[in-house]
This record gives sequence, C-alpha cells and structure tokens, in this order.
Amino acid sequence: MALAELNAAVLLLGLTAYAVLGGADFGAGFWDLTAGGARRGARLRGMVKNAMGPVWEANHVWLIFVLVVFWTAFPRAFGPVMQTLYVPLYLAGVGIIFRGAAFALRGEAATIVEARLLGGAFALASVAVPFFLGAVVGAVASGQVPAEGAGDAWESWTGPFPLYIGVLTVGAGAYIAAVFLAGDSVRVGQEDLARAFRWRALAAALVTGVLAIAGLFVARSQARGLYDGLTSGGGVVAVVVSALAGVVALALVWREHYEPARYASAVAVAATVAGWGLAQRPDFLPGALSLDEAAAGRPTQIAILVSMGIALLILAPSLWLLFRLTLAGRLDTDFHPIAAADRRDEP
Amino acid sequence: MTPRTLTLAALAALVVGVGLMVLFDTAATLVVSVVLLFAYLVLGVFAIAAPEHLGELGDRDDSPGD
Amino acid sequence: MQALSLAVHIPLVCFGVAFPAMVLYMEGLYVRTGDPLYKVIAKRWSKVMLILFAVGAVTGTILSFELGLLWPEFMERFGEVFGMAFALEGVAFFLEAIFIAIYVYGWDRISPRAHLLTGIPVVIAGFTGSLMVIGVNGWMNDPGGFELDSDGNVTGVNPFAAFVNSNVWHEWVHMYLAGFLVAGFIVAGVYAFSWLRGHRDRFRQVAMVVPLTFACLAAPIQVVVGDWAGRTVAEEQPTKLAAFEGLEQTTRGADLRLGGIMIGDEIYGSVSIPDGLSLLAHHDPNAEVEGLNAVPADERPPVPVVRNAFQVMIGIGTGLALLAVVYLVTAVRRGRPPRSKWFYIAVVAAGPAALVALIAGWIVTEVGRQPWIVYRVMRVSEAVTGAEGIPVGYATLALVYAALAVIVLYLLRRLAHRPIELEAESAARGVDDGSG
Repeated sequence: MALAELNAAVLLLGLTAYAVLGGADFGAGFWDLTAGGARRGARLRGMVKNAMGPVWEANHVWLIFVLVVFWTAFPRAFGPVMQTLYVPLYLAGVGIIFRGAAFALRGEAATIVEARLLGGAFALASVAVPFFLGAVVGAVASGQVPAEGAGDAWESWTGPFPLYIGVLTVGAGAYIAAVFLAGDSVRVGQEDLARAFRWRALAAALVTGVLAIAGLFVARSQARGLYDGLTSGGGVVAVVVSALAGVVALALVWREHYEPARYASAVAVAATVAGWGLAQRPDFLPGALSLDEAAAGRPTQIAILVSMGIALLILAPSLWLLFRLTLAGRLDTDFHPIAAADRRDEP
Repeated sequence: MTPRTLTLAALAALVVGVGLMVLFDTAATLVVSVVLLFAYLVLGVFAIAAPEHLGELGDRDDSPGD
Repeated sequence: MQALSLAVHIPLVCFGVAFPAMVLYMEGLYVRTGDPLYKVIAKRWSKVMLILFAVGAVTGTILSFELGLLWPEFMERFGEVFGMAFALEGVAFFLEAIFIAIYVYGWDRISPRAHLLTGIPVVIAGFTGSLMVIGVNGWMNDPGGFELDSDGNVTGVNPFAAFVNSNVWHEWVHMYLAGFLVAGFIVAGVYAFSWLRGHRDRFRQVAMVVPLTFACLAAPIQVVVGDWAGRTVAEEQPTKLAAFEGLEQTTRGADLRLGGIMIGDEIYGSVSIPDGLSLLAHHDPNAEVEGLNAVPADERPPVPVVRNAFQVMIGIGTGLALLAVVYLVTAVRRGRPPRSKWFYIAVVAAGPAALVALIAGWIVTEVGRQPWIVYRVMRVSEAVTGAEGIPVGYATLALVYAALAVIVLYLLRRLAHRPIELEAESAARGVDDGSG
C-alpha cells in the first residue's frame, strides 16, 4: 500500500471518529431543537446536556485533528478545497462558535431569556454545522473542486448532491445521537426518556435509511464516478457492511439493547465513510487530483504516520479512560431537567 | 522543606539561571538556564504561597491550622 | 480577520496554559492540609477553566479553518513543512480536552489523590501544546527544513528540521511566562478588586495570593528572557530589531532610545542611552547594529507600529516586574502581601496591563516580520486569498466575537457572585464522607 493511501486512511479514520462522535453530539442538538415547548422538552433537554457534558470537547477535537492531517499530508488538495468551498466552511465555522459557546455557557444561564437564547443558538447551530460540513464533503465527492484552485463559490456546493449529503449527515447524526441517548437514559435510570429516545432512534433510522437508498440514485445522476465506485469492488463491500450494520443496530434498538446498538451504529457510519474513500480511490479530488498528486513529500508523510502512531499510544488509553468513566456513570452529574426558568444553583 | 529553605533554593536557582542566560550564548547554557528559571518559579510558589502563610490570611481567621 | 481571531484566542490560551497549574496547586494545598477552603477555590476555578477552555477550543477550531480560508496559497505550499507541529499540537490539545473533562466532572467522584493526578496531564499538555504552536511561528521567522527549486516549488522537506529553528525556544519560554503573567494578574486582580471594596475574608485573600505569586515570580524572569529574545532577533532578523528601535541607519555603537512615541519617521519624547542598543543586542557597546537601510524600502515593516508596540510591551513589562519585586520582598519578609491600598490598586491594573503587553508583544513579532509571511521566502500578499466577500465575513465575525465576549464576561461575573458559604458547606460534606 502506498504511503499516500496510508495517510488517506489516517484522515478517513479521523473523519469517521468525528462523524460518529461529533455526529452524535450534533444529533443531540437536533433532538434539543425538536424537543418541544419549554415545559414538555425540559426533561429531554436535561438528558442531552447531561450526556454531552464530559465528552463534547474531546468529540470536537477530532475536527481539528482532521484539519491538521488534511493540510499536512495533502497540502495540494487543501488549498483548492478551501478556495472553492469557503462559503459553507465559513458558515460551519460561525456555527461552531455559536454552538460551542452556547453549550459551554448554558449551564450557567439563569433567566428565562438567557436559557432560551443560548438553547436556541445551540440547537440551531447543531443542525447547521453538520449540514454545511456534509455539503462540503458532497461537493468534494461529486468532483466540484478543480485542482487549480478557485471553483465556483456557490454552484460548487448548492447542487442536489452536496445538499443531499448535508441532509444525510444531519439525519445520521440524529440517529446515532438517539441511540446513544437512549443508552445514557437507561444508565441514569430515566426509563421514560429511554423510551422517548428509542422512538426517535427508530424514526431517524427509517428516514436515514430511506435517504441512503435514495442517495444511490442521486449519486447515479449527479456523481457518476462515485456511484460507479460504490457499486464495484471494495465499494460494494462497504455499502453492504454499512447496510447490514444499520439493520442490526435497528433490531438491537427495537429490542432495547442500547449498548451493543451503539457499536453497530458506529460501524454503519464508519462503513459509509470508508465506502466513500474506496469509491473515489485513487483520486483525492475526483477527476482533478489523485492521492499521490495531492500528497506532501515522503518525509512529511512518514513523519505524520510515526507521530500519529505515538499519539495513538498516548491518546487511546486516555480516551479509553474517559469513555470508561463516562459509560460507567462516574462522571455523571445529577440529573436536572432544563426548563427555561430552571435555576439549579439557587437554593 | 520549610519556606525558608525553599526561598533560598529559589533564589539560588534564579541567580545562577539569570547569570547563565545573560552571560553566555550557547545552546547548553541556555537549556540549563531555562530549566533553572522554571525551577525558581516552582520553588518560589511553594515558598511564598505555602500553607503556613496562607493559613494566617484574612481578617476573619477561621482556619483550622495544621 | 485572522488577526481578530488570534487576538481573541491568545488571551484564552494564556488561561489554558497557565491556569491549570494554579488550579492544581490549589488542589494540592487541599490534599496536603485537608482545609476545605482550598478545595472550594480550586473547584470554582476549575469551572472557569472549563468555560475558558471550551471557548478557546472553539476559537482554535476557527483559527484552523481560517488558516485555510485566508491563506490557501501559504498552506498549499508550506503546509507539509510546518503541518507536523500543528498535528502534534492537535494531539496535545486532545489530551488536554480529555483530562480537563475528567478533572472538572470528576470532583468528589474519584479519590482526591487520583483526581489531583488527572489534572497533571492538563498542565503537561498545555506546556507541550504551546511549544508546538510557537514552533510554527518560530519557523515563519526562521524558515528551514526545506529547499526551493528553480520554479519556487518546495522540495526536500524535513519537518523536524523545520521545527527546530532558532526562534522557537525563546519565543516559547517568553510566551509560556506571558501566560502566567496574564492569567495570574487577571485572576489576582479580580480578588484585589473585591479587597478594595471591603471583602477581606480569607477565601478572597488566598485566592488572590496564589495567582499573584505565580505572576510575580514570572515577571522578573520575563525581562531576562525578553533580553535573550532580543539578542536572537538581532542575530536572525536584524531588520526586525531595527524596526523595534526605529533605527534608520546601520550604526556602530547605536544609542538606545527608550520610551516616546513614533509618528511618521520621527520619535518624540524618548530618552537616549548612549551605546545602549549595541550593548543590549550584542553585549558590546561598539557593536554594529544593522539599520532599516540595509534592506530595500519594500522589504521593511511598518516601523512606527512595531516600535510603538515594542515600547508598550517593554514599558508594561518593566512596570510589572517592579510591582512583582515589591510583592516578593514583602511576601518573603512578612509572609503576607503588602497592606497598602495602592498595592491593591496596582494589582487590579496589572491584569489588563499584562493583556495589553501580550497583544503588543504579538504585534511586535508579527508586524515586525512584514511584509513576509515566511521570512524572506514568501510575502503576505502572495499568500492571501483572492476570495470575494472577505469584508462581509470580517464584519460578521467581529459581531459574533463581540457577542461572545459579552456573554462570557457576564456569566463569569454571575459565577463569581454565587455565595461562597454554600459551596464551602458542600465541600465540607465532601470531606466528611471521604470523597469516595
């Protein structure tokens, strides 16, 4: 396997982790947005905040990880992508500011107005960010980015395929989030919330599944290269694995085995991302730039692989510790519904 | 260690560290001086913000002492 | 736009780098003495730390977006050269995010000793992370680790050689200490302010003395490290040094002109020290100091900006060092901070002053490098994006940051106003049941 492909694998691995963990985070925001009125949604929102608290920062560092590996390992693709897709990237960036800040600060909000404002900003941004990031991926995958640099700033990502990928990203995040949150609800002993999230997971799975199947047809007309890749060779395997894992996860949620469902859903998403990578191999920017052309020089690529190996040795145990503590409920705060007028710090 | 010994150690680290940094210009002396200056910082904190001192602060002394 | 984001990000970094050490020291006091007061302070601070870290993480993400959005040509050509350092910084940051979460959410849920241990990686990660980022900046000032072929393409990249450049070490030590100055003086200033308003209980005194001690210990050595930094700049980037001092002609035995303000080509109201500049820059009163005239006019930085920023940094740095000496002498001799009202007023002023010095110092190193983005290799104008709509983006971002700043300050204020006794009680309970 060529060096460039190994580095692409590192990049995709980071992207997968971000899609699963960051996606779950964004999805949680989606459920926050759709939880209903202040009173009705209070318990649901409380659960969302409770589950995200300790892990959300670690989940979002994956994005930084993806970006730095991207520009270090594939600088010649990074420039064109940034020059072409700066509009959705900028919008996603602003969304990230709002979301992160609103979430970090919401715990400290005290009055109705504050909580509504911060909560609204958080939830809206949670939907906007994955949508725009998905659109960026869709634009890259459907070959809208020319190798020479600036492509069309608007048309490149407002075609049906990029927009479709944006919607799919939001849907997949919402689904994963519902599965995770159902599991978390069981852990803190909120059975009614677990049921609520179970229904949401099933509904999101249905929508996302239909979207994914429809997506093959969209891809066929809009991104022919990608479609051909997905229906031949390694691409097919990935699609099949993804579909199977999706069905298994669905069955597990149905039977209320949320913990194994977590992993099955993660596999489904991972297989989709891997399928994308396999489908457009050996191109980085389809039809414009191959992996080898986009890649940095040999020493840099080796340096990345070595340092990522070392990083894995340090980070893997740390992450394991964090998730183990989280899943064991050691980092849970006491459960509080978030109603608009709630102020838990006052006696 | 008492605050007094710590203070003296911090001062020693400071004097040697500054001397090395200002008077010489080689990689080795710079590394040593940076290490010494950081040592001074740490020792100094332990010397000055020592519990013995902090225990006596405040108008309303309600510290259990130790 | 990048400048704006950086100006927001840098102070947050100071807290990310230096504040954990103070929080951890405070918790260490608790573990050693068992006095719940220390724990209350540490716990409170850790919440502030989490908020600032989260906002810092967000601005950091935006910065990495902006690197690509604003400087696509720069990234495309040189990404492979310095990207390594950013990748490692990403790892350090990751580690910090993981353990800061365990630390803040782990209060009273894991044993006190284990909890203290989980804070240590946070400090280490802040330490190494800052080293990595400064490595990139050092590289921009002293580019190495690659070759240019005849077409100007980057070849023969060696990421490690790029990282180990002549500027990284002093810039890093200088920045790390600056972190302690800014974080220490700002936190101490908050409590000094409430002392002035008559809240003189032990809680606030302890909470002021600890960060103040960190900052005051760092201030004098910052001056020495600054001198080291100046000497390195004199060797590596003589034009930059000339801009610091507004030195027009290459001179033997150059005078040092302290203070004053530079408007146009003239310096007003400065004090001259004969041969001072030569002495400082090369430790030799007769040494030759290269002036601005050594390079063509279009390769000179905007001198007045650089010189004025430099003087601000030096002035504030000296002032902080003097304040620090006053504090340190009293603290060592009496075991307590001075009791003069003026001292407390000075501490309150020191926080914002340190922040101004930080920004000024950053202007010195960044603007002093102009017009180069990569020193003597690539100009800023070659690296910048040609995308339209930059002003619109700039305006929205400015608004967003302004809103962010207001919200953060507002909520930190709220956090500070929460009654202390309440938390002290719950902390005391935590001690009773063994904090298991």
